[in-house]
Amino acid sequence: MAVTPLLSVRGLGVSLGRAALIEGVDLDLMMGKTHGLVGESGSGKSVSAMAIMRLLEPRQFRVEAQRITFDGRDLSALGTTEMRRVRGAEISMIFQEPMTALNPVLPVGEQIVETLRVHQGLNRATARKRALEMLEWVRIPAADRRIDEYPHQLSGGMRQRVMIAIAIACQPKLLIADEPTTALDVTIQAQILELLHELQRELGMGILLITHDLGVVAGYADDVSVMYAGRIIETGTTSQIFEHALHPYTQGLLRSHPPVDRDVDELPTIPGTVPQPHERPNGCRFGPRCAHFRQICDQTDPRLMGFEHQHRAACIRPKGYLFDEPLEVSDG
Amino acid sequence: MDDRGTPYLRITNLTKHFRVGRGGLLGRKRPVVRAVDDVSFSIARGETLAVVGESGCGKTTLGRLVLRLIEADSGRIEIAGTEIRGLDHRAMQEFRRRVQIVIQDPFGSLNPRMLIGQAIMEPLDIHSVGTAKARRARLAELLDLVGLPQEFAARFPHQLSGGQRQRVGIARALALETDLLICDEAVSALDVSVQAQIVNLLQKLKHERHLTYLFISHDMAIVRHIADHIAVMYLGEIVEIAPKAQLFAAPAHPYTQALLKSVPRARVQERPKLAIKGDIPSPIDPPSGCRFHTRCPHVMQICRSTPPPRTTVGPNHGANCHLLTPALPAAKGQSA
Ligand SMILES: Nc1ncnc2c1ncn2[C@@H]1O[C@H](COP(=O)(O)OP(=O)(O)OP(=O)(O)O)[C@@H](O)[C@H]1O
Ligand SMILES: Nc1ncnc2c1ncn2[C@@H]1O[C@H](COP(=O)(O)OP(=O)(O)OP(=O)(O)O)[C@@H](O)[C@H]1O
Ligand code: SF4
Ligand code: SF4
Ligand SMILES: [Mg+2]
Ligand SMILES: [Mg+2]
Repeated sequence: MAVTPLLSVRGLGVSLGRAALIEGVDLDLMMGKTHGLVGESGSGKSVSAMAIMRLLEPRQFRVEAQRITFDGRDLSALGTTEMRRVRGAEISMIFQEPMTALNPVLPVGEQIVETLRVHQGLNRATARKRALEMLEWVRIPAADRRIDEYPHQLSGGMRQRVMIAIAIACQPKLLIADEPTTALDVTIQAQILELLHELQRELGMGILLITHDLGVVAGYADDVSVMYAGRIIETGTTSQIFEHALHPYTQGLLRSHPPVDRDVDELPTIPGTVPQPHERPNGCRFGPRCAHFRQICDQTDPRLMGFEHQHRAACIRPKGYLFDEPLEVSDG
Repeated sequence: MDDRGTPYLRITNLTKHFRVGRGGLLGRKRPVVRAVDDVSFSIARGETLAVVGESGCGKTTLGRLVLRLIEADSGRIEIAGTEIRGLDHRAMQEFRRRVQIVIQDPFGSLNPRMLIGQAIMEPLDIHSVGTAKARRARLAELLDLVGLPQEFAARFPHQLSGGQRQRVGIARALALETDLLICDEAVSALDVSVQAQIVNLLQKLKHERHLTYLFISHDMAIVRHIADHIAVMYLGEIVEIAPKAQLFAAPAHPYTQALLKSVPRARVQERPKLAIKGDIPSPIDPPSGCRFHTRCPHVMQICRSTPPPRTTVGPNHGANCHLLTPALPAAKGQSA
């Protein structure tokens, strides 16, 4: 397929002092599709998103990239003002805790009105009418009353709906959702995910869905990238990742959370913990925790290698190990 | 409804309401949060009862009541046959040795200036148990038990990872002759790869030490893995309680059904069902009748006015829902 991606990132790296927070991140996201970015805490998901959005403080972080193309433009070449315009109107972001992203002393409707006035130059009355439509669109009950309420008067789920309303107010082409449902209860999570899915179909926007919850990604993403200790270690279509994972870390992650719909005897675990940026080992950074580690794994820092169509993994023995020894865990 | 022999922990009609905010004008009473409302259950020795439910349904309050960290308004708490609500301070100290709690964020609960070894030994110091030598031996044993290297005793909390701190919290809880361990979201904040290690550790300890667990969690998948029995809470009340297998195979209460359907399945393109609409209502002045009626897809007229009684739907399996009571359909009114 020769379709140009909406967002295409190559060789994105961010460092802080001598610590490399993320390295060599590549990412492609198609118009109207969802790309899931998963990984454990500290793996670099948020830093990647912030770097793409150019929201990292330049005096603190060093960001480098071969390219970050969005809708035909190189984001890293844009001036600050132009980038700010892109951020409000064409790329939006929602976060885990909407309370911190919302202004606590401004009624929620006003916050949408402000976005619309700044980015679309609407007058006050039109913007307010539109803000009400937005709140109804994200299915806030009694929106005409809620529009004048403050964030603290709303439940967590409703605050996240308001965040989504602000994010899509200008009909962005790309939505970056960083753990959009992590702070929510499971019944509310289901509602928010379904809402995002419907809005995506109506607006045709691409979504970069960042989460540590593999279950969320399986249901909603078209493609998935798995991060570990600052690198993407496997990427592919959702079914390649969930049904034919190649990297031992991805396999471990998939097995270590128990399924909700069947019983397992013992939970397979990955020994050890995720290394901090300054304690990453030489060679394969998953090496110290990998059941298939061999001396050779210490000698290279494996990069993503292609296997099948789209499916790539950063492991030097991604199939070889299958024959070394019986896998410790069965697929149940 | 229970045929599991003498329970280790038996809770009967336990209730705790919090008064919040200021009293209104004209002498109106302060609003009341019905955090735990007429809750009853029991756990046999060596069993795990999981308490599940969404944020604010009263899980943490329930755990704190059992430890008497807060005092109940009414109801009974029996541990190994003794009603503990009437015990004086001295007698209660004895029970504190046997009932311990592990909470979600051990970082917040560990003194940042106290060495890990001291933190684990603190309960022994408080209760003046054993000689200095015996305590050192106990520390070595506890570190071993929870799979921490001995040299960690000389570290400070900030030098440990989240999973390691959680192990410290567990070691500390087991320092005395603990029988009953209350785990309040004990693995919720951990990364999945580490979470699995702690879940397995809890399972191992349960078998080796014959521990009884009150396992509080919002994660249905973890609960399925760890529990023998499950109690589902909604706005301060237990709406369903059942052996694990029954609860997952044949959930009787519409809320339990919705909860199970909402959990993502980790299977490709299989989206969680949009099981229920609307938000969880405030526990201040909760909905009348059945508290779930504002979100229930099966709501009937009677649900709005009359709280549903507990109905037995199988062995040790009960649920509170008018759909399950054998009354005449006419009495329930039309489905709304
Ligand atoms: N402002 C900052 N200053 C210093 N280090 C930072 C900062 N932000 C992130 N880091 C470090 O960068 C690494 C990647 O962090 P990041 O927030 O991207 O992780 P994440 O994958 O989003 O994790 P989580 O799931 O916990 O949100 C971590 O080691 C983190 O400690
Ligand atoms: N000390 C207190 N004073 C007033 N209200 C309280 C107090 N402690 C708890 N509550 C209220 O009681 C209700 C139950 O709270 P609790 O912490 O037990 O819920 P939970 O089920 O543990 O929730 P979560 O899953 O968010 O931890 C909530 O509405 C809470 O705000
Ligand atoms: S390169 Fe070696 S250590 Fe790294 S994941 Fe593959 S087998 Fe494991
Ligand atoms: S009693 Fe009525 S409202 Fe409550 S769960 Fe049953 S059917 Fe639904
Ligand atoms: Mg993050
Ligand atoms: Mg709690």
